[in-house]
Parts: sequence; C-alpha cells; structure tokens
Amino acid sequence: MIEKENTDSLNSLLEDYEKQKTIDAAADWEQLRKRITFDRNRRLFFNYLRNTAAILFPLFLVYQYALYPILNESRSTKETIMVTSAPGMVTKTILPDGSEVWLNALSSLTYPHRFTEKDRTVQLSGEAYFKVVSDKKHRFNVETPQKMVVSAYGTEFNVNAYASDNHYEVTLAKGNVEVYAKESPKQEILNVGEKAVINSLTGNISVSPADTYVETAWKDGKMVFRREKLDKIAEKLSRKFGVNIRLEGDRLKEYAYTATFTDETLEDILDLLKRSAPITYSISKQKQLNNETFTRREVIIKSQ
Amino acid sequence: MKERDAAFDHLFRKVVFQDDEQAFKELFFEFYPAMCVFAMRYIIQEEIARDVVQDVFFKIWKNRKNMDITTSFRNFLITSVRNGCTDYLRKKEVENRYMEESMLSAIHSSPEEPEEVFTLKELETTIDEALAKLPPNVREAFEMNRYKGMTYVTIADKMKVSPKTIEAYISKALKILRIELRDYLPFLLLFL
Repeated sequence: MIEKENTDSLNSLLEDYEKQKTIDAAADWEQLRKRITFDRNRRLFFNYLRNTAAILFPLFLVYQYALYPILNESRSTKETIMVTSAPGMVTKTILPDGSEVWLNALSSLTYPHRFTEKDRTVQLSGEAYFKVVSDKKHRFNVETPQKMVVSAYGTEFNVNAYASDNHYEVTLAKGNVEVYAKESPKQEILNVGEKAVINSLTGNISVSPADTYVETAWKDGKMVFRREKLDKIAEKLSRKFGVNIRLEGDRLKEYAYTATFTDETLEDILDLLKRSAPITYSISKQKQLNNETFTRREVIIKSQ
Repeated sequence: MKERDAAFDHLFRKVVFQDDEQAFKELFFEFYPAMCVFAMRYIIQEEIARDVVQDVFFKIWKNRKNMDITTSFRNFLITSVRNGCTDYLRKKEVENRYMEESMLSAIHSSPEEPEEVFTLKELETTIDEALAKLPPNVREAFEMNRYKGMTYVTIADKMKVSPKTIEAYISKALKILRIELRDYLPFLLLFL
C-alpha cells in the first residue's frame, strides 16, 4: 500500500518534470513582455493626459471665471442702452448700478450696459429725475447735449435739458451736486432746494432757490405751475399731449399762471386758461400727409 | 531548497525595490513551467492554464509596489496561481453552471493544504543526480522503459538479459530514486 503510493508520487514527480520540459517559457515571456510594455505606455499616456489636464484645467478656470468676464466686460461697455419716453409719458428705468431714473415725455437717456469705468456716465436729452445710488468711488455724471455735466455721488436731482431750449435747469432734491459746462472751468455746487439755470449760449450759471415740488411734480403725473409764463406752459402742454402749440401775439407770452393739473384733458386745461385770461384758442384736425402719416394736432392760442 | 528560496526572495526584492526587469525575467523563467503544470491540476486545457499563469505574473509586475509578502516568493506564487485558477473556474461556472463544478469543489475541499511545486531546474538537477546514482545498466533499462515506453520484453531483448532481470532493474531503479528524491516526495515519511 505504502509502496504503491510512493511509486505514484514518484511517478507524478517524474511526469511533472516531463510536462514542465514541454512548456515554451521563452515564447510566453515574449508575450508577457509585450503586455507589460503596452501597459506601461498606456499608463504613461494617461499620466501625460492627466498632467496636461492638471495644467490646462486651472488655465481654463482662469479663463472662464477671470479672463472671459473681463474681456466680455470691456466688450459690453461699448454696448449702450437707450431709453426713450413718448409724448405724454413718464418712463421709469433702473440703471445697472441700481439708480432709478424717471424720464419725462420726449426725453431719451443713454447708458452703458454695465458701468465699468471710473465714473458712471449717462447721456440725457430732455428731462429726467435721478435717484442715484450712493457710491463714493464712482461719480455719477449726467451729460447733456449742451455740454453740461451734472456730477454727484449719491443724491436726488432733476435735470431739465430739452435740446430746443437754450437754457436748462438742474434742481436738487437731496444731497449735493456739482454742475459745470464741459469746456468751462466754472462750476457750481448746489444745496438742497436750489436750482441752477445754465444758459447754453453763454455758459453762464446762475443759482437760485427753487420749489422742488414744482420741478419734480411731473414724475408723479402732475403739472404744477407757479407764476409760469404762458410760453413755458405751452411747451409743457405740447410735450404732454403731443400737439403743436402756436402762440399768436407777443403779449401772450407775458401772461403768468399758477395752477396744478393732474388728469385733465388738453381741452379742459385750455378752457381753464381761457377763463383766467383774455385768450381764445382753436384746435385744428390732424391732416393726412402723402406718405400716409398724420400731422400732429395744432393748437393756436390768440389774445382776444 | 531553503537557500534557493532565499535567492528567489532576493530576486523578488530587486523587482519590488529596484523595478529590476531582469530579475523579474529570471523569476519568470524559473517558475513559469512549474506554475503552468501546477495550474493544469485545476484547469485541464494547457492554453488556458498558461494564460492564467501569465496573468498572475503580469499582475505581480504591475502591483509590485503595493505587495506585502509575508511568506516566500514560491509560496506567494503558488497561492496566486491557485487563486487565479479559482477565479477562472468561478467565472466559467457562472457562464456554464454545470461544467467544471467538480473541479472548483476540489479546490475548495483542500484550501489550506500546503502544496509543493518544484521548478524545472530543481527537478532537472535532482533527477539527474538521482539517475547518476543508478548503476549504468539499471539506468539504461529505466530510461528505455520510462522515456521510450519500451516493454520489459523489448528491453530484455535489446540488453540480452531476461525480462525478469529487467523487472528487477526497474524496481531497483525506483527504490533508489525514491530514496534519492525523498525530499521531493510528500509521502516518503511513511517509508521509514
């Protein structure tokens, strides 16, 4: 029994030896070597990729979150937005810095898409009431077609600068502002309740006390006149109602009125004017022009 | 054996610490045939057995930096190959539930039993040495019987002795070999 097992194990040992001799280790080594080389190259390649990514990824982040917005910003500063208010309308708009602006009828305001420069500069033609968000580092400048600049940090003021007028006004409601003409070194600092009247021809600035309620009532939809001359009233009415108003006779311009209008119609107002002074008025119908547009209605005011 | 294992372990340390490909190659050539034959105890198809062993060597090279070997390299290799075979059979069992099942249970039934694997060189040396101890005519008869598959009668005819003598030669050869190779035969303790 024992003998048999020994023979068997000897036999299997010899068989093992004979089988081992038939294995071609060299050929399989060659295969294994190739596999190891391939694996190493692949690993080197992935390491290379990973290292490249490790360098490129932060660069990408820098570009995406630092460079790109800067580039984009400089691009967008050139983009400007223009808000225009139609006759008889008051338009309210909020600027990129959060400042609020009420635009009176027939006025337009141009401002950049984003404020990126040292100063916040906007262009105004017409009349607007500004409620500027305070920012000591960035002045808020309002430029008008007549080369006037109103400069402030954070305050509330009204600018009346219709291109047709040869003088314009700045009225301060809160805080303080600086008013100057672009070419002239002369400047005025306004206090609350004062208004600056600038003559666009001479560049003269005169400061006088003002009734801020009267000056800013338009933004609440009111027309307030305090001993206002008729030609001024006519101008405001024409803007409010989108009509042309012609005054016939020089004497008319001397009439002064004190009144407050809220939602009266043009006819109501004209009737009221007629009742308090010796004037008559007539309203012409709209005329159709050849290009299929219509003219404005025309109001003619005459002295009796 | 002990000294040889120490030499293998030394080579393996070179692989681990110096990324010595030459040392790895030496170990491969030393153990690859033995491991293939060992794997064929579990996987009958030689091709697959060779693939499994190649895989084991590949993984050893690849993971050499993260290996923690507490035994000799030889035992580590034996365990790795056995695990490789188990993995292969298990996968195959999933693919084909009914086949090879008995093979797998055979591995499972003797999981911790120490196995002995001798490398080609070791066997070559010891078997040659053992054969050299045989009387020349005994060795001749043994080799003719073993390697050429000749029957006793044919050998007797060739050596011009009786078949009975050949039978005596062969059993003498086996007896001497059993003694000479006793360190390599697991059951030899019983022989005393």
